Amino acid sequence: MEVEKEIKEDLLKTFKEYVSNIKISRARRVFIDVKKEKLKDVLLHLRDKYGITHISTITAVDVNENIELLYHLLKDGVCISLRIHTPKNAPDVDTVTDILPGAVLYELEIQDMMGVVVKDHPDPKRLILPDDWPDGIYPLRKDWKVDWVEGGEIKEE
Amino acid sequence: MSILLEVLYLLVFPGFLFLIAYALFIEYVDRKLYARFQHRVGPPILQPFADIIKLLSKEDLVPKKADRKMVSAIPLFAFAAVITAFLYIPIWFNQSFFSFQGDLIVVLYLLSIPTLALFLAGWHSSNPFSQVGAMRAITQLFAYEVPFFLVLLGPAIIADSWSIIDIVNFQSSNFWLILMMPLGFIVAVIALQGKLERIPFDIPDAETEIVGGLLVEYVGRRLALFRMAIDIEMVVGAALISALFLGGFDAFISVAGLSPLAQFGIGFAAFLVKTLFIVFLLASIRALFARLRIDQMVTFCFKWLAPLSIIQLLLITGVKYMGWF
Amino acid sequence: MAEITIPIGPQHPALKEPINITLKVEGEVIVEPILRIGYNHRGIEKAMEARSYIQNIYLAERVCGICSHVHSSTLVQGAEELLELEIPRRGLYIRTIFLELERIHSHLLWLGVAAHEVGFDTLFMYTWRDREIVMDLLELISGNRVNYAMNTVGGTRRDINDEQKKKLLKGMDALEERTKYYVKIATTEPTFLKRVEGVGILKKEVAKKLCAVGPTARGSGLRMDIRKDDPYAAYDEIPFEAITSDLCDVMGRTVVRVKELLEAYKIIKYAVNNLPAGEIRKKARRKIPENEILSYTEAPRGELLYYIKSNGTEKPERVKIRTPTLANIPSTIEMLKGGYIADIPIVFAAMDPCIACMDRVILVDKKNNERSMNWEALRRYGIKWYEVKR
Repeated sequence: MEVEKEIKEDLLKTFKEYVSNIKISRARRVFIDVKKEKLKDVLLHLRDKYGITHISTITAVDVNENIELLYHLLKDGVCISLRIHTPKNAPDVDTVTDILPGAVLYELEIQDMMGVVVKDHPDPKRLILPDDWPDGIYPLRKDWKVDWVEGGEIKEE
Repeated sequence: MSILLEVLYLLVFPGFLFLIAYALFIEYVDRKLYARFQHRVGPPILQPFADIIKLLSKEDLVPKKADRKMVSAIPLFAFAAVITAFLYIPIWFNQSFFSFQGDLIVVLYLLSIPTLALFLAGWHSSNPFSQVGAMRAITQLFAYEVPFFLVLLGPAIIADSWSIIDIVNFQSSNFWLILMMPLGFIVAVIALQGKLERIPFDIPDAETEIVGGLLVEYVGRRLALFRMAIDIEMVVGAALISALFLGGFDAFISVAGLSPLAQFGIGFAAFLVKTLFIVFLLASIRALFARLRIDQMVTFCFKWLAPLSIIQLLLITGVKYMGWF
Repeated sequence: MAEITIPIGPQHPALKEPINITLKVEGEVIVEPILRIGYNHRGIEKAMEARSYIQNIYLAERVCGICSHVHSSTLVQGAEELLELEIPRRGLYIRTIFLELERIHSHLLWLGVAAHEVGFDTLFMYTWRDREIVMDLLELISGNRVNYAMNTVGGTRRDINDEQKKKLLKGMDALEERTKYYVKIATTEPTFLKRVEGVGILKKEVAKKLCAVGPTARGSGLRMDIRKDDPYAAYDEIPFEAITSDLCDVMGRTVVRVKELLEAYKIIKYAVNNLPAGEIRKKARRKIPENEILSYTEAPRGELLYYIKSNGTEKPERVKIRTPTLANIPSTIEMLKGGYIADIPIVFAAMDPCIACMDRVILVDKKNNERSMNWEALRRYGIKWYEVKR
């Protein structure tokens, strides 16, 4: 629990009001809410100070009016999840691939499945969905239903 | 020799029919051995035959961009070349209807034709995989052909003849040349493995890399012809090495006073045993190794096989020069 | 020499599952690999939101055919953590035994596939024959060869009796002997060495930068093993070593996997000999209180991650699956650059790709199954697609 607490104290001190709601749910699991504009600074800080370079994945969750993005960072079994929010009607986020190059596919995945626009992505292309998939339809959002697909065609609402 | 006998010779034995039957049998032996080395059951004896029949009955397809005439003609070339090559290799005593001074060179040339045909086949199928395969086949050709030719020169120098039958007769009156040139025999077997494009030299048709490579666009009877040609090439290659190094039809038995039928029987049995032994060696090599990469293959041939064959050749010339033989 | 574009996949004999790599090559050297995935997407993450946790166990098992148990284990241990449930030790030990049996069969399968990719079919046949030993053991205990259905929220569903214990130990002894023989072959056979040494180099710093996981990372000298770093199931009590290798090439990954096999035999023997008495499972509530959890495990291919968000009902709000193959894709592209065409299959196989794990969604219309093309349409589509690409 030492490292987790240390990171908590340190982040609260360095970023003050930009981080909130720090939750150590059990040993080696930390969840932190971060303001969207400060995400890259927090990542840089964690990388330079604690040597955290491994990103496990980015989880996108559809929560009411917002889309929640969780950046799961891993270092020696300690998982730090940074949570940011972005509005559902125009979700966007800056790419973090300049800090963590391993995130390149995960960003494409959230772009495909949740429609979060990743700004300045080095190679923005379809990753999972077919090439002829219509724009503006994101299968992992809560309002998406399987019935939208009929006879191989995508039915517009 | 009467015309009738000649036709019989060409078409039935040991020509066309016998050769096809024996080539299919050799393929069976090879596959069965390979399977047993791997703890598998292996195919039944008629499986290669059934494969060919099945291929002959398949639909005939030629890629749109490929040249139809070329695609059809190339397998015939390969097939004709290997069948012709077999005529010059003696398989029983004093059988030399077609032999002449220099038939060794002709056989070597004819044995190169299948590879060239495979190259053309791959190139003309206009498929990226087969074109890569074709490039690999031609690169590989230059690598194994040099040592192969060099070591096969040895027996000719010793026996003072370019005729295979003379070399075999020399061996039956002296000793088998493998005793004098073990190195040459090993190099020849390895180079033959390369000629037949088998593991570790199956680079042109590496199935996991370029999906069967050269012959990827070949189906039906054209593929059957190619398969037959490669099988026959194996028989010819094995027979050639056994004639040059293992004394051909020689079986340590004096046949002077025996009836022609008994002479034939002994010589033919020796031929079968020796070719099967070489096929056994080829199958073992296939089971023992992994596939090399084309650059590694070329390096291997020029770094090991070619120098070894040159050393062999120098030794032989030395022996000859000293007048020991 | 002119640049040729070679399409590999979605259907290709080197790939057991659909993926597409378009390669720009000059002669035999790869200039640029372009990767396209998604041919096997089955919508499992979405489907999980519509099913209860119990149903999801069986769905999770079908994410992957080879590492099925590790997927269901990751899901149930997440659910158990959400319920704050204390699992009987015997249940955890049996779960661990299965996790390791699965690792054995996956690694043996990999060794065979890798040998086949470099044209070493004899080793391929040998390893797959011996893999039958572990497959039979799995069938003996669970009744199934691939999807074992051993897990449930609260423990495991089947017990191991004394006779099965004996057979397990016997099987492990036999496999250990065979594996030592394979170690000898894989480290001494000259042509095999030629194909794996110095091929597919992934330097330690690059592996770290691109977030490689599992044997791919460990083969590059990164000490990353969730079993050690974040112990789950019974790994906190069982002694074993995390294997790493500093070779950084395909050989390094081979060494790691083969040595992990030997560790797995030790783990199973220890677990069988020290199997605690008692119950194998605890009854769990159906409804799971609102919370969120991250569940990590070390699958045969590397770290596997489930993020589960519950909403107080018996169905999860969101399940996010990140499989090791996806994490290793950027590293693999890096390895392919500047290599030979002949090395693609072995380099690609060296990360032990599991495309079914990676993709997880394709749309099938429930009413009339019509997102399919006939042969002619598919052919035309394929030709057009590549013409555009060129």
